[in-house]
Amino acid sequence: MHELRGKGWRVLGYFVWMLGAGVVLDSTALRTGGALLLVGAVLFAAGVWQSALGDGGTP
Amino acid sequence: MFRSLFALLNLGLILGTAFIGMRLYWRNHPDWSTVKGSRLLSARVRAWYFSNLDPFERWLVHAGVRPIALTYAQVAGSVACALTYARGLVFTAGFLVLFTGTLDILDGKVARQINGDSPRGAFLDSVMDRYAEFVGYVGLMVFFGAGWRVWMVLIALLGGMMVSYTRARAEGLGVRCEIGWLQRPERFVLLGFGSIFSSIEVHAIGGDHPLLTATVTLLAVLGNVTAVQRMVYVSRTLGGATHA
Repeated sequence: MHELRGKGWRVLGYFVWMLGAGVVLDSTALRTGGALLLVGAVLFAAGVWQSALGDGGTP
Repeated sequence: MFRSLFALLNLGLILGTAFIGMRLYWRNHPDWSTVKGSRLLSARVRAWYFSNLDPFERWLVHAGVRPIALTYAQVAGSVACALTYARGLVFTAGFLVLFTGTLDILDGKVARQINGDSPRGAFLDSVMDRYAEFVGYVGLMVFFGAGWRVWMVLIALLGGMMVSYTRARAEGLGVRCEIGWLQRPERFVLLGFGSIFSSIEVHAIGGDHPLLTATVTLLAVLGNVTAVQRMVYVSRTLGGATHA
């Protein structure tokens, strides 16, 4: 999974956030949607953090 | 009220994050001359999007995933997309349109990386792409249910198929034909973001998906215009070849 460090996790987080947003907006499964939003936000933040440390660095 | 605010928050986040990502990429990579652009999707937007997929391309190659597996995943994603449209889950369907479009880009990139860019793979990819596109539009037809909007989806589907057919037929006759306003990536972007923004609009303001209706109408018109552009281009090229 080293290939995903930095930008990869950021992009994955963005996609997972969008999926969570879709679940929250389109359905009544607020817990599932909320969990996806949280996972997406964590992945995105982890990617930003790794890039800030110079790992997987190009923005 | 909660959904309205959440929808608007997401509009800001989706657009804001993409905008910041693009600005940062363009600042650090001022040369995108190797990427081919079009009227609706410029070379620098494509270069930015492709760069986002580089880590996944490397990971998939390292994991030994075959390009055909990504093509099958794309078809499965399109079936899921059709089901979500049919159930009225427009935001999720729009997301799946963008996701399957991304898989379509990735299978080609992975194939080129592992030298698996074979004629067989290219043929299977093209055929699967048509099935995937058809299935997605069927879901959209079920969503609209009845009336003139179903006809618009049908015309958009026809346009999409004709854009691909004119290219395939032209290439069979030895003419390279990649011109036109609405090629496949443009169709993915229009339908994907059209669905997402339409869902946000409905949650924030209300209405019966006027933005999605406008998107499908645009796809219907521009798709067929692209097919005609290709017909004219290939006719002129072949006519010139005959007289040469």
